[in-house]
Amino acid sequence: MRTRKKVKQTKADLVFSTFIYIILILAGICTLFPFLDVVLTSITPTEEIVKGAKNLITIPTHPTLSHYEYVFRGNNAILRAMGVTVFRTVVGTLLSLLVTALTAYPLSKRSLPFRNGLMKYFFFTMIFTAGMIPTFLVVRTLGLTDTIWAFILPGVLNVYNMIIMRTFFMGVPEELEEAARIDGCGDFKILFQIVLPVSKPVLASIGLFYAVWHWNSFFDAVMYITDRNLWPLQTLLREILLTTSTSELLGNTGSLADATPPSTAVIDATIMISCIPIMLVYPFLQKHFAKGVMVGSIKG
Amino acid sequence: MVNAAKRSKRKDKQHQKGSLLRSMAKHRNYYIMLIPGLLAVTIFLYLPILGNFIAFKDYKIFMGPFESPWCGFDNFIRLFEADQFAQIFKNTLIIGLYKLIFGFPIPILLALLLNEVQCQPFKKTVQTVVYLPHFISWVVIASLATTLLSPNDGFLNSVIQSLGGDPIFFMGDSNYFRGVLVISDIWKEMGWSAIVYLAALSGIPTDMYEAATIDGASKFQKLIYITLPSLIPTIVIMLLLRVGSIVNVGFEQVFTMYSQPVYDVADIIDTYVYRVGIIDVQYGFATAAGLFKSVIACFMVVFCNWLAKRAGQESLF
Repeated sequence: MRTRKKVKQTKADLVFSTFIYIILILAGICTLFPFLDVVLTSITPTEEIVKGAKNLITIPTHPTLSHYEYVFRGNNAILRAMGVTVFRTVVGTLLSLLVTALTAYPLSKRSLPFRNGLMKYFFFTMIFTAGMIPTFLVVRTLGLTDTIWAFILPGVLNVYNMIIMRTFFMGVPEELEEAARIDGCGDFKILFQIVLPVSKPVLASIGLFYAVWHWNSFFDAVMYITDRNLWPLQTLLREILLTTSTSELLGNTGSLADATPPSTAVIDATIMISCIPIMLVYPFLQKHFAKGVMVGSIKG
Repeated sequence: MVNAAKRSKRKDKQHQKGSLLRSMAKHRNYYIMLIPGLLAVTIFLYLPILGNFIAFKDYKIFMGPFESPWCGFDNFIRLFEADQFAQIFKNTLIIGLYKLIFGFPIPILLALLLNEVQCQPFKKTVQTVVYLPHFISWVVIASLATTLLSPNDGFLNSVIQSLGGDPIFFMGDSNYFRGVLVISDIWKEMGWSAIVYLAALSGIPTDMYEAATIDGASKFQKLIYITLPSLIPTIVIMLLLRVGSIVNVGFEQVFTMYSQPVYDVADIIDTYVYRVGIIDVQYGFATAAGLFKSVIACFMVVFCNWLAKRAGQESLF
């Protein structure tokens, strides 16, 4: 493949390659197409949406960011929900990374007594999952419902992520730690000043996994939070979308765009706002998480 | 403190056969590190597993989990006798099976195609694009699907209508809804699932391809006779993992996409547990349904692991 050298492509190979490129381009288009309508609607002025309600796809003649402004300007629920999401993502991800590293590091040490037993203790939770209701009752009994900690604590350690990180730590050369130990570093110092700095790829990918999980979570709020002021963006978004689609479910055949033109665009702007941070971040971490997943798929 | 740790570590090297207690004392910092993780798992994963005992209780809200009277297997009997449950269990299996049959081969195909691409920027771009939906929440995807498939002004129905057909309410029609679930799941995860195969593909030694090229093999022949066979071990492992989690149908997806008109084909155990448990507050009964699913899921995973061992593959765990 990569060693193509000067071997001339035969006609069959050329047809084959062209076929592959076409399929992949189609796959890319299919992936992006559903977003197209949302992106376009979110930048179309309200008057144009009303006028072009019957068009196949709304194409703005005068693109505007006013809907985005509206979302950010208003002293509204969306902005507050975004604050909750940002908080849980930042604090939750950092805390999860800390706990995951603290758990994965000792378990990466072959000399640790009871290591296999401890691994089994963690691993069992991947095979047998606790049900929704008992989990809910435990979280409620602990008094976490209607607090921000209901988002952060129950999922603070993801065992799968921990195993990936542990596998990575097992590959960190022992000599590095030995040298630090001779210099008088304790176990904690070695973890934080020697091991973690050389583990940036795995920290980046696991951090991304945790962050995306926090950013996209909506169901924990449905379960644990009754106070709407504590709802994260996704939960609020779901509620908004549910109210707009209900009229459709009830058999309202009249054009929906006619009934609520401004809100459609604002909703689409909100959807975009909820997606953009992740869209901006993950391509840069792509090479890391590709490796991270690969490492995790190899039995440690 | 630091010195003591240092000295004890040196000793560790010398006396490999030191007593267990001494070894544990030497590793005490490691045990301290484990505390938060152990606490998290114990409180939020093991306590709820133990909490499954309320499946055997006639849960009374005013009495709480411990005071409520035991009722043996009453909740389970009621569950199996409930006429929806057979349908719900069937839905879970059918949706799981559809996702397996249609969703499993596509990432493999995608990885094989990407692997054939020599133009790196093109490959990178396609990869970045197809990974994207994995990072988007089901809430947003459900909304995208609703917009795209809307019977009023959705793109797909506009196309159908311009071709002279009648609009179809994909999201609210039992004939189509499972298809929507399967396709949107494939759309979301095909790129992400391909990563594992791409990693395996990058490990195939290039000299095999060189030898084949010298023998005059075409690209297609190389794909069939070199690439695909090299991928078989990964495919088997991934297949077993998928089969093992067949009853985990994707709660968030169904929950965000389904609605009353399609309950008959879309209601799965998880959504049922949510409605009966959280909405109707029948904790004991809902826990019984959840426990039933957990036991089946556990059995499936253990069974698949056994199968992997028998097939001579590396076991999954």
